[in-house]
Amino acid sequence: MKSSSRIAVVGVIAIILGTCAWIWMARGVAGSGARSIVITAMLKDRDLNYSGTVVTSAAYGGKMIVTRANLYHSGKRERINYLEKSLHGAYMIDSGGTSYSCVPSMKKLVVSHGGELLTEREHIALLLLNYRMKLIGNTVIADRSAYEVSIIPRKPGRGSKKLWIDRERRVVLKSEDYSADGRLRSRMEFMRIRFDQPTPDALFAAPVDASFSRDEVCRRESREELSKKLGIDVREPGYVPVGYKFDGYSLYNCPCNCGHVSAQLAYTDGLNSFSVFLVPAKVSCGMGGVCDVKPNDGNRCIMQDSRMAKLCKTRAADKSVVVVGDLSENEIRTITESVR
Amino acid sequence: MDSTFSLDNDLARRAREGDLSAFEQLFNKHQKRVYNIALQMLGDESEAADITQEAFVKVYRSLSKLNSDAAFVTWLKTITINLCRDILRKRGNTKVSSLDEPKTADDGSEIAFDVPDSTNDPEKKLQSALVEGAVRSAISRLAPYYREVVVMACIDGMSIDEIAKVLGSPAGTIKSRLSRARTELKRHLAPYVEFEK
Amino acid sequence: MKCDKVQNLLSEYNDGLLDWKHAAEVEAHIAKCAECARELRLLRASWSMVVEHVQSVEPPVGLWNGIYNRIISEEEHPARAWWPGALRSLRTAGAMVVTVGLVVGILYGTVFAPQGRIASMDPESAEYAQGHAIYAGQAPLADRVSYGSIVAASVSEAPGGSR
Repeated sequence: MKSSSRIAVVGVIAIILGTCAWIWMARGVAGSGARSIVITAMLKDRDLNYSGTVVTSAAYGGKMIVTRANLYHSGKRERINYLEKSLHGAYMIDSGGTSYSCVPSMKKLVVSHGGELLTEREHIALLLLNYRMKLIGNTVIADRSAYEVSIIPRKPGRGSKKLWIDRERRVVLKSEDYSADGRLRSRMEFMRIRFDQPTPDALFAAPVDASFSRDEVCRRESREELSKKLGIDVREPGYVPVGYKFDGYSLYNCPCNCGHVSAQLAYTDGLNSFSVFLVPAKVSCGMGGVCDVKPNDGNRCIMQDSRMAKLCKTRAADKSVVVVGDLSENEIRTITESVR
Repeated sequence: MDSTFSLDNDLARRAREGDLSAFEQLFNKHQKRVYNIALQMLGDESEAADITQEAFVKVYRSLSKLNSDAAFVTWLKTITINLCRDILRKRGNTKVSSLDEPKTADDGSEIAFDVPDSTNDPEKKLQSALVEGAVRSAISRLAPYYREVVVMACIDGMSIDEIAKVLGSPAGTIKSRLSRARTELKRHLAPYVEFEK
Repeated sequence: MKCDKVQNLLSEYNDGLLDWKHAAEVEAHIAKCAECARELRLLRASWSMVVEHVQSVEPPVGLWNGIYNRIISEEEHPARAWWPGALRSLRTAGAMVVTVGLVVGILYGTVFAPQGRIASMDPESAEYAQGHAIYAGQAPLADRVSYGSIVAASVSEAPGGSR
């Protein structure tokens, strides 16, 4: 082969390889662009200060609740005031790892102490492991330019998400959550948002009113403490879907208001989550609810669906087992039945 | 078109042999058109999503029935239209598009999820929204057999012959349906046409 | 030709469906009648408006999830598939056999194969869903406003009394 021909062949090969490398890099950059946008939005340790009005719709009790709310965010603190009549002036405060849900007109306060096991970095790692992120485009939400990003599971059968993230401040301006079977589960959107407006500290103060009924529904406990308090062997289920990681034990108050408690085991895959509740069977409140799941019902599991999540309950030895999460029916059933 | 035909049919053949990733490729390629046909036919996002899923599941179940001469996408659209027809039949009457209806809160005030629009001119935004609403409403008012032909002609730019294949009707019938549909649309949209001028 | 007759034929004229004689008559009328010419312009303009404004929107993300789940679950529970097939073959065997087949099928669907029949959540179970929502709402990307509305709705519906 003449040297000029050889040079031409090498040149063509170089152009082809270079084009392939550029395409590969561009796709990588686009993917990494979406990833870096989402990761920044996830970081709680940013000194962000904003407030605005939000519209949200969420599946609950067989229907969608549509509400407006005023939201105030300052550093790691957040307050949400729900404006709809049906929520009776409810508000939520998230401050220092503790959340308060308060319905002042009914004098009710529900307190949950967080302190999840997994760090923010571990959440991010799980998200990257289990989900693909894609930058779809740019749009305008609440008069702000926003990136539109989709978060899709690498393994089908899990919920997915679409986010609209403020270009400048990386705050989520709009989000859509989709269940494992592809249905819209909830939607949130800022109608207006203002940054760096002063917000009084009093807005984020824990509600203190002795006349309120106060329910401490969720508190971190060790496995040993829980087993001792509940009188049952608290242990993780034998089956946990691939990609999910254990995120701690909590003591959860039985919702039928009899005063007895259950163990809540939480799992997350970075985006979606499920909880396993272990309810001592010997303490029955006789209210026909979850505590009263009889053994040998003839069914392996009772499955229920609220569109926000599926729920599966069954009896196992000395306890009732309830698994709640947005997973496929098979997965939830397998987890439930693997509890001994 | 020929290369699209053979690529789709090749993916369908692989899916029939159990290659789910091939079916996923078919889904990714055609989900938008199926969803939009269902959305314009039914006027409801949730139902359109259900129909889209139903159509693809049905297609997957019957892959063995796809013969090598038939175009996959024609078959897929036929199934979609038939599913929409079933829904409309069950409904009994035409439904004004729920895309137009803003959600209301308990106190009766309106809560709308705005369609994102990058124009900053509020008047243009309003005019555009009004016309879009009018078009959706006009389409939803058409009888189902008119709506089908309009939706396919608009969403996918399908020719009369292609629409005829999907609906299993002679081309002449499709032409006259489209013609009458246009007369109906003119009746609903005339005020907006004057307005646009 | 009178205006009302012409206007009835305008769409077919526009689409080339008229025979040459009627097409020529319509064309001649339009040339002289401003009103009918305007109607033809309206017809064309309204169609252009439809084509221009029928938006092609992005489908929701995650539709594939539901399809995948259904395909996989049907492949994992092929026993459910025999019923339609058996019913089809039973139909040809006569009315009595079809009735028996239907009864067996209903019994199978309701008593022996409860999977695939998911009930909506009862209020007591919904309280555990609330407990899960409290946890899920703490995740970094969680839609806290939506989760919070569910918790708030649940709290306002729960019976009162302190613990």
